[in-house]
Amino acid sequence: MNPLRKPILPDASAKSLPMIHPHKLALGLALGLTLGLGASLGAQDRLLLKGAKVFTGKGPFQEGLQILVVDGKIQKVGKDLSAENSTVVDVSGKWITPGLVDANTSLGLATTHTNEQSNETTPHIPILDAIDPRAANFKRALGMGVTSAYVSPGGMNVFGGLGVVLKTAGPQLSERIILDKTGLRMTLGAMASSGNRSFRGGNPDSMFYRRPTSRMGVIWEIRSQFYKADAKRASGQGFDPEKDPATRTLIAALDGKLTVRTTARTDQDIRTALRLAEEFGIRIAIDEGTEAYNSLDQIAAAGVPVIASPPSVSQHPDRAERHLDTIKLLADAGVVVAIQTGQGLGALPLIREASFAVRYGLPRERALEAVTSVPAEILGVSDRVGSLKEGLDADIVVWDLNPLSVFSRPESVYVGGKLLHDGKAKKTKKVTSPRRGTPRKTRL
Amino acid sequence: MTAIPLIGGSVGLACALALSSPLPAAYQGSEGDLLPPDVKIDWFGPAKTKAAKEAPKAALRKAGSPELLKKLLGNRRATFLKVDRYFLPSHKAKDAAILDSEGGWLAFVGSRFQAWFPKVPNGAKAQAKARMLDLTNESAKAFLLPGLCDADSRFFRSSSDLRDSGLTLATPAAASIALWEKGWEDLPLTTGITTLFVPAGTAATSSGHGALVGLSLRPLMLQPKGGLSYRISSLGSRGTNLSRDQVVKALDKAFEAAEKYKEAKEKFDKDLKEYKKKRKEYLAYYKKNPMKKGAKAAPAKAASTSRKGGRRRVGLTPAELAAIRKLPREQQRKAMQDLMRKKAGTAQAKPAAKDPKAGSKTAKTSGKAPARPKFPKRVPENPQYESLLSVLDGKDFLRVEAHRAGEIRALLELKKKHALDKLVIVGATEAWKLPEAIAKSGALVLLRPDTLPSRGYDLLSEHLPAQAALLSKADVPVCFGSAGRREAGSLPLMAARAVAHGMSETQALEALTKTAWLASGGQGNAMVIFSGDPLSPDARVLCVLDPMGLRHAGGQK
Amino acid sequence: MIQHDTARHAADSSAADRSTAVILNIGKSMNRHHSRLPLATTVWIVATLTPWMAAQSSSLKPIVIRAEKAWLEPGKSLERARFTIRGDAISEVDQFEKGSKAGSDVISGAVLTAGFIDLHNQLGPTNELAEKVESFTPELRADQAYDPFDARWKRVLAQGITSLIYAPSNTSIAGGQAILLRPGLKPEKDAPATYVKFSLTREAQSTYKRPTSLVGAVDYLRESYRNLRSRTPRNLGAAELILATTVGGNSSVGIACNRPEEIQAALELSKEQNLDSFLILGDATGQFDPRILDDVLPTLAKEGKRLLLPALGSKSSQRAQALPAQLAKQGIPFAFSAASDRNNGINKCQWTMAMAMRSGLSADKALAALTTTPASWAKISDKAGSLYKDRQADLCLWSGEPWDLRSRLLLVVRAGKIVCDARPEKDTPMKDSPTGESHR
Repeated sequence: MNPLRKPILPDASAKSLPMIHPHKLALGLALGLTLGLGASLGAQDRLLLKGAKVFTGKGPFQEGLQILVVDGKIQKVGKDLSAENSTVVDVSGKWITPGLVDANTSLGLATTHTNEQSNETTPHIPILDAIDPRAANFKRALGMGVTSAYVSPGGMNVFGGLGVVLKTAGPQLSERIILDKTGLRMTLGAMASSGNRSFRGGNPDSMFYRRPTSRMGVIWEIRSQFYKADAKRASGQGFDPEKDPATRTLIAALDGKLTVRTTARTDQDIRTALRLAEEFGIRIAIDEGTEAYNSLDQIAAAGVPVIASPPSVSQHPDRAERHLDTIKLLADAGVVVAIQTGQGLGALPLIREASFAVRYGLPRERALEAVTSVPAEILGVSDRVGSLKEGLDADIVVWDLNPLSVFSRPESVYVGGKLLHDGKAKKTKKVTSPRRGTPRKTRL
Repeated sequence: MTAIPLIGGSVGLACALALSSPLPAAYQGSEGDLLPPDVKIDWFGPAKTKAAKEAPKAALRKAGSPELLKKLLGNRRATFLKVDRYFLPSHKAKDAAILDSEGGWLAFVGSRFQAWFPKVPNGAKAQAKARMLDLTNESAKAFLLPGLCDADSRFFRSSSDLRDSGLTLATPAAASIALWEKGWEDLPLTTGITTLFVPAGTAATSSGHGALVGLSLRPLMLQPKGGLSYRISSLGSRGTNLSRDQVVKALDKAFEAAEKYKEAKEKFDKDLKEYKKKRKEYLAYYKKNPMKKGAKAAPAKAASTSRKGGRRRVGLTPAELAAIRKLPREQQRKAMQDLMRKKAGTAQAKPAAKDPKAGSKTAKTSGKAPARPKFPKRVPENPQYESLLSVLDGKDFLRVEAHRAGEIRALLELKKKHALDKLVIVGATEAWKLPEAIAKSGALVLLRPDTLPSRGYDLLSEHLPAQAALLSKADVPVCFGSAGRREAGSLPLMAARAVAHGMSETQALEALTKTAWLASGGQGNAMVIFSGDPLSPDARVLCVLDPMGLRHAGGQK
Repeated sequence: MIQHDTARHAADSSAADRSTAVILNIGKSMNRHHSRLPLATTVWIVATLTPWMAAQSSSLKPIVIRAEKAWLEPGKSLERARFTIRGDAISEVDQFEKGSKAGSDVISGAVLTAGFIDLHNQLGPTNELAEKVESFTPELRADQAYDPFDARWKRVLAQGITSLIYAPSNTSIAGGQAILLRPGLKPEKDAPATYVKFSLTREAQSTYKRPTSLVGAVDYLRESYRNLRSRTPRNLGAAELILATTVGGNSSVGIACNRPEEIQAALELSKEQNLDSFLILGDATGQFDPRILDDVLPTLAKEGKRLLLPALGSKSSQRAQALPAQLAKQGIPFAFSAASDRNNGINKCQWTMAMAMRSGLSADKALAALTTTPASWAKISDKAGSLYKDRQADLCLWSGEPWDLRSRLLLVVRAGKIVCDARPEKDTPMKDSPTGESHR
């Protein structure tokens, strides 16, 4: 059986937390309404892209496919579509992919304080509150074809919080959110305990004199939290989900309604992650998995997806040793693998990381899947983005060359059917030097 | 703000200037290079048209003739601007500043100002080939005045550069001015500031010549060698362990040394003249009376003779070298030396051999031989003294940062002692303690917001203008400098505060234009048109006329 | 300029000064004639009689001020206005006849405005306005840290500020209650809390206590509201009682924020908890992230949020100067906080108006942002912010339009007492510096 077909991904009902705050729900409804309204206003927006080679999210590039976009959604992908009433964009000789999906980033997080460090376990804290929607790195990501990204809480806590999947461009932050409070960040290894101090030296008043300070301690913290949550779930007494969102979140994870994004870099952490998944029955996805090449069979057997660390980066946290062909090996072993640019690792743009993986043996189609449809499925947003299919958001990237070429650049990036990045347009950058341009010169 | 395309053409600036308040003698009269003549810089070369050449000098004060009007209206290259009021200061003490509330049409051809017309008939306006621009409207009075000048700017220099404590008097700011630096672009159109004086340094005790930069479509270096900066106050200064007293004394000594240097230079010039004269005689004598055999050679071609007693380097031919190489190794060196010595001997002997023939011809005419003249002692060029000399000669301004009353008093004494014509007291926190003395000495005062009496309170908003008002009441010429980038924008507002404290509006406008030019050693060349009184808070810059053209701010009202 | 207070407990009264002088003279003469009378007795007499004398003299003699023009409220002026002040209220407003001469006891000037109101004042010892061990302390009241005898209130008064809201500092996420005060006057016993101060700025994020991050700060506030809901009203503690008043907009909340993401979080929080909130922009030095101009203004306009801006000065960036005009254009309500923590310089109000106007703000809106708008936010519109009969006698007399930097503030009346008199005829020759300030 093709591992990609395995039902590892959340079903539709798991997309929002079951115990979501009622006013949040109302907000979501209102949002939906406004979005719908916006769409109906632009009813005339019909766009037909034709002439390019198209990668739909699966399989190879196909010649002769046309894409019809209506009201910001893909209405049809097929041959010889009717161009009636629509703006036809002839992109002959170009290459089209779905908007790329980056499954782990810190886009928009201007501060390094992305974790609330007064507590090691902050599973319920949403990262959305700390996102600067117009941060420059969103624009850079968009300019390299990334239209959707998962923004993750930091990894300084054992349970860091809840991430959010959002578009990299759009008018308002609220309209850019694809899925909020998704993916519970759980960090294994040394990083989660790194802020805590031992009793040797220092000021004993600090709130950082606390467990865990070791790798074992981190795992115990995870276990104890899950035990507590499990006990509360089982007894059902003395627990009000409204009052205790942390436990609520952990129970959602235990119920399999929330993917636990487990950051595991070294081999022992990866194996621990698999053990924890088995022990508590939680649905995990391994983040980074830098040393996954050592436990290929176990990962494949557990059916756990890996969101692999960027292959071009040589220095990894936890002193994990990178192998250049890890992604290829994972794919060969039948593991569902996506590629991420990660948080503060100094990675190349996502598409270049895919090229890097191709350079070290990953088949081209798999590489493109690993930055489009596969991450969308892992994130649970494959009904919105990640493929060029009927009914999905019209997030389309037109590349001038084969995107996996190191010279490729997006010529145009459509987000929700709107051209939000035009690579051909003259840079609208401000004049940096009066030698080159002259401000406010008016002549008749 | 968006730019509204309004007019084109290059409207160069020319203005006749006049003023009301008296200035110290040092700033008036014959120092032609200090301030430009009435009709000013033409950035596009000398006037080509006959009309331009005939442009009346104080044209703004005299309406143009109907003939000229007709001619200009028919000129496609001409531009007419209609304003309500204008303020045109001059460096001449007796001239009243033109602060005219009538306004009228100002005519330009190309870059040059032509004439002022109180009225242009409607019919003529309609048929005119010239561009007619009416900048007046009902809600605001268009007010034309020279572009404002920030006499102590921090643009175009990096802060580390300015704070360099290793600067000397010979370091010109122009050498490290980054004219491509951005950030200034909005300044003319938001505040009307079109000229900036950039000092060489702000922290060193002595730093060199500042530069005057005009803001146009791009920054223009108007005067690369402006006022010389010196600093007495220890307020935040670095790189010196001298006390204030020592710093003043050092400046005094520097001037004394510069005076000695000047004397030495003059003496050298004199001696050199003498030497040249004597040398001519000496050479003439030996031309007539060639040297006898065996006599020491006259330095007929002093420049061409080699340095050390005629010893010349002699080369060996390849054949000779080959012969030497054949010798045993120990002997090679000696053989080479011998050979070279031998060859050198023959080379010198050759010209000597010719002498007897030449000598025999003129031997009889010899008189008393003149002594060989000695070259006078050179004065090594000292760029620092040169800089000080430019101050002593009254060419450049000396801008001294001094804050305490004692420092200022010492400075005024120094001015008297060395007869310094042009002195600007920068900062001058305590100048209000001795306004009369400063007025009598004829020094300028440059006030800037960073000279606050204490750090705890932000007295900027009142201290500076109160001081400005007080000083100008005592007839001390005052100008303003921002000493910062952001602060530059509020210079006109500071002047407005000074008015609140009793400075007259004319004085306040002069402080932003004329006096600032004086303190900067050059004049800007742009004109600014405000909507209404430039000192009122709701005034906007309507447009800036500068050598590169006319820019319109698109301001409301 | 500003009357110095002779007796500490009569700190607010210029009339008291006069009476004190009288009593002191009596004391002196008593001393002279009855040289045995100890000094302590004199002091006692002075101390007992001063308040009584002050009350007597102020009730006897009204203050009459006339101005060529009075801005009753922004956009509404009264020509040749005459104001009579009795006690601490405006007792009469009428017009004087054209060309009539003012009597010697009538104060005259060009323009009269209401005293300014500062919605976010933190003047005082910086450390006293926040708890350092805990960040969530809504039960604290800022007036406990207020020292009416701080010499710097002179400066605040000299700018024309006659009412202010004394607020906890930005270093606590819920620092406490901001209290309405009169600068230099002792606070009333039960001075009402005007708003509860929240802060989402980086200043409130610590490295040694909760919260350490923006997400943590928001979570802390959310958790507090959550706990509030889960308790019965009986069990509420002091902090929770205060927090409870903010739910549903019973009392307003001022949220300090500087960066786009902080503003975003503040908007989200107020929407979630249904708060009647306004955003306080600017850190302790009055600086804020200029990106909000591009990024957050549309959101603010959509949400209809109120914005409290820091004072402008010559160090303000071009973008900060342009902000008020942009807000006015987009219809976002705003007010100026004239004297924030360190911006307690002279004339900040006038500078702020002038600089905002230079970037295109209209004069009426500039004046409103210091008078009527803050008055309505502080819910004291019936007392302050405008010049009508029976309003509090808080007035500023100017030599020209208040927003024109060429005019001067001549006179400030706070609660019926002249607290700052800088009329030219009163100008003493400069003793120490041009501003009359001692800087030694």
